[in-house]
Amino acid sequence: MATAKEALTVLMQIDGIIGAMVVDSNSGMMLASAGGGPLNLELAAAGNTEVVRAKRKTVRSLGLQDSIDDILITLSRQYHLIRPLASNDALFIYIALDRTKANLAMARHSLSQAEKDLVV
Amino acid sequence: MAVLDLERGVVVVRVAYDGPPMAGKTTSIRALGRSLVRHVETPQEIDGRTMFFDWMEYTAGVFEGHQIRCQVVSVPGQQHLAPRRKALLLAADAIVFVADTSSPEAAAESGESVTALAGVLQGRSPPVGVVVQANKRDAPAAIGIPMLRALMGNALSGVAITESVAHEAEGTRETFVLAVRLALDRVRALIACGAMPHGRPEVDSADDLLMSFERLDTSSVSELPPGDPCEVPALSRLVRGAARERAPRLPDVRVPSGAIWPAVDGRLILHEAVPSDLRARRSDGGAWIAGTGTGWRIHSAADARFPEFDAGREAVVVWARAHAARLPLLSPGRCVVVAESGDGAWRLWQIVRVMPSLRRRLLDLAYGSDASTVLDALTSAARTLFEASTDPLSAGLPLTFDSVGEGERGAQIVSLLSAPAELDPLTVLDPEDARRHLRSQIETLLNLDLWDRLPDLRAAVAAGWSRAGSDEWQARVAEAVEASKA
Repeated sequence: MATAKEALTVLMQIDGIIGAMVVDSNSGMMLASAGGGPLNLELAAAGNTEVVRAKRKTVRSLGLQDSIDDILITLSRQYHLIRPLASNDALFIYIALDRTKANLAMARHSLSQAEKDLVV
Repeated sequence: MAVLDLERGVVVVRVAYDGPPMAGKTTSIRALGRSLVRHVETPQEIDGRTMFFDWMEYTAGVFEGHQIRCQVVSVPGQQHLAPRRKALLLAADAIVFVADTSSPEAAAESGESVTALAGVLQGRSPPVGVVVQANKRDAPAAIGIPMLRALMGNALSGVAITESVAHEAEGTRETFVLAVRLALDRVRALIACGAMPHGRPEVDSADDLLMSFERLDTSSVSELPPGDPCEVPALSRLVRGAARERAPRLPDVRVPSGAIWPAVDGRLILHEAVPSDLRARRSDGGAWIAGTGTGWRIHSAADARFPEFDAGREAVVVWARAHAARLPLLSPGRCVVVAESGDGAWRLWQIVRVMPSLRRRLLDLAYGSDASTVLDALTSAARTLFEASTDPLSAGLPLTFDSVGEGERGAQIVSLLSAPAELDPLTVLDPEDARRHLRSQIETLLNLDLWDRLPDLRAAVAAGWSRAGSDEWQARVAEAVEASKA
């Protein structure tokens, strides 16, 4: 069991992490954030909320009886990972990673673990 | 209160923080302000008690493709200010009820206060969502959440309860985001029933709210009937209605020759600053104002009314002389005009393009910058204000961090000018008086606006931010920081 702040502390130990946040997908507002560097996290929260909503809508439109585990966006220099909370689908975790330093498989594993531990 | 402002691409919602006295409403908003790196304005506070409200704005998130602009206000908790509390609650889209759970007695008082809140919200449709923020969870005798639920009884059914330690900013942000979610539910309901207002909100800043507040007749507020908000006047509508009743007509480009200074640029300013749909509203003290949020200040003093055009034109000449004599020190984009007020008389208006004051610039930078940067900015602002104070052209002008800004050529007055009769040419400050005046201005700013940065600032000063003797204003700022109240 971890609070949002504790979960973010764990996520900030991932190799290559740039920033991490817990976002309310209803409003697109952050509940908690860490790191970020040059990233405007508020903007990222709102933008990625649209991504999650669009993907959920697509899954519904396709009639898939399924849910999103995570969403990976690969930029030329960064990975962006989005993971809705299984315990509360109104929230998701978002992390941004530096591609040159991150191990994607390990990052996904850590994110999955943090998501399971997180209680909001 | 919710408004869809398509011009700015935002949906505006208001979240009000309610609760019994000393439950932690202001502390919660200030903790939220620190967490979101936003400034919290408190128009008046006496002995740590809120007299009007705390105000914070936060734009983030997304709703139907629009950004969400949140107006976050707290209500005054004291019983004798109940009409103010009620007026603020009636204009809210969601409410965070801050309950003091530090002891059974405090929690019982919170329970009574919830009942009062339920009375205010009764019958509002679409309903206003309430989040109960159980505060002071770190107190040794804090009660359990089930007991809090029992104390609240059935006053508010099905409310969410969050836990917080506001002075440590624990739980305040989560509570706020939940409240925004409830506010958006209300927006959806308003859209569904076709009652969602469009346009720029009547109350768009702490100043706007304060003006509408002071204008509001408290007895009429306390008599507001409950009912459907699609029908019942919210605070903003009430104020709007009062303003329409007696508002004078604003000047436009058709004003007669000789009625405007400067003659050519003044008409260009009128064209830009006074669109045809703009309306004036009354502020505290009886002055008429317009243009809030548009980048212009449009102001007419309560007594700036003339029964005849000739008397108004003579006043314009006097004002023009007062401006011309101080022109190098005034911010650009100003005009003075006398125009028909719509009731057979004439009214003199002063129009000034809004430029950031030294205080505004400092506060914009203060939250989100390190202490040394804030101290450097304060030093620079102090130097600019001193420069303005010792300029012979500044005689009789208001010289504060609010009235002075920094232009391309140095210090400039960015505020409205006082009436020419009040501009005493003999009151220019000598350098020593100017230094004393400045010291008091710096202390006021530190104690009222930067109080929550004071520990940081003191630490930076103690760590050697100021190199003694290298800069007069750096040394004075350091002294003021060290002398400021803990």
